Amino acid sequence: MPVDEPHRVVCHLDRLLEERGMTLAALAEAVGVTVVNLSVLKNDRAKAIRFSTLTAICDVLGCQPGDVLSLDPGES
Amino acid sequence: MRSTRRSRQDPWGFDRTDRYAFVGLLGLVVLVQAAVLVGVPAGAWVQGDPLPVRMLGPVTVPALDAAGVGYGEASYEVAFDDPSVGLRLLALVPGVLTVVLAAWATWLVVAVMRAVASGEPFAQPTVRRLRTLAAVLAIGAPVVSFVELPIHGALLGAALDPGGREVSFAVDPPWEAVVAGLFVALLAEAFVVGGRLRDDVEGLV
Repeated sequence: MPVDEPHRVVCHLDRLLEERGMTLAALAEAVGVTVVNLSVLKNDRAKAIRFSTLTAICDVLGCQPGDVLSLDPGES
Repeated sequence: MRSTRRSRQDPWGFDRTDRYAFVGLLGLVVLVQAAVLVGVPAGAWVQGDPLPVRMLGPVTVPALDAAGVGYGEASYEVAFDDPSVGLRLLALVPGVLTVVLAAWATWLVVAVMRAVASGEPFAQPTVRRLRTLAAVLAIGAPVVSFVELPIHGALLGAALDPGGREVSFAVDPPWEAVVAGLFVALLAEAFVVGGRLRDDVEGLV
């Protein structure tokens, strides 16, 4: 049974890119996905992420998956 | 078939030329049905020709009786020389219903083909159209076939004295249409699953 939206996963690409002085376009080129898709991820509009994409992002940014994504505690 | 790059790679690929040809074929089928089932009887009505009605009844063949060979019923074509307007209209009903169903099915097929060609086949309207097409084939076609029975009965009862002869009608349900309808219903279910898969992929990075 699929889980209904909305989710509470928050993406921290904005902060990671700023800390490294990197642009979204440069990351997209290094990772091998389109800027549009990375923008969707950065703005929390993505519904899912491939492990391969996450691995490539972590490799390029030198971080762990938990640095890229975290769970908003929300009201619970 | 036009020799496009895609058709060279996949001989079963359904390209634009195939779609146009298929729509043309379906349209031709509807036109031929309209001409044969409605146009010809209407023309006979205008010209004052007799109204033919098929019926089954027992037949007597003395030569076969003498030889002791068994035989069954025969198909008769009863011709009404001067039928009323009501009888003429009644006789047209099955043909008109058949043409309406064929035109409806054609329109549904064209709409589904258009959705597939646009690259959005797994949308809810496509599933709804496929299920409607399944109902038209699996339910509509047999209903039209059975509607003919009371109409033929009314036609014969209104103008014919069977004289004690047992009169019956042949029931021949369109099994091909029923099977095709069930197949289209299965196809619609596949489109439902395809829609779910598409929803899963949407927003995937």
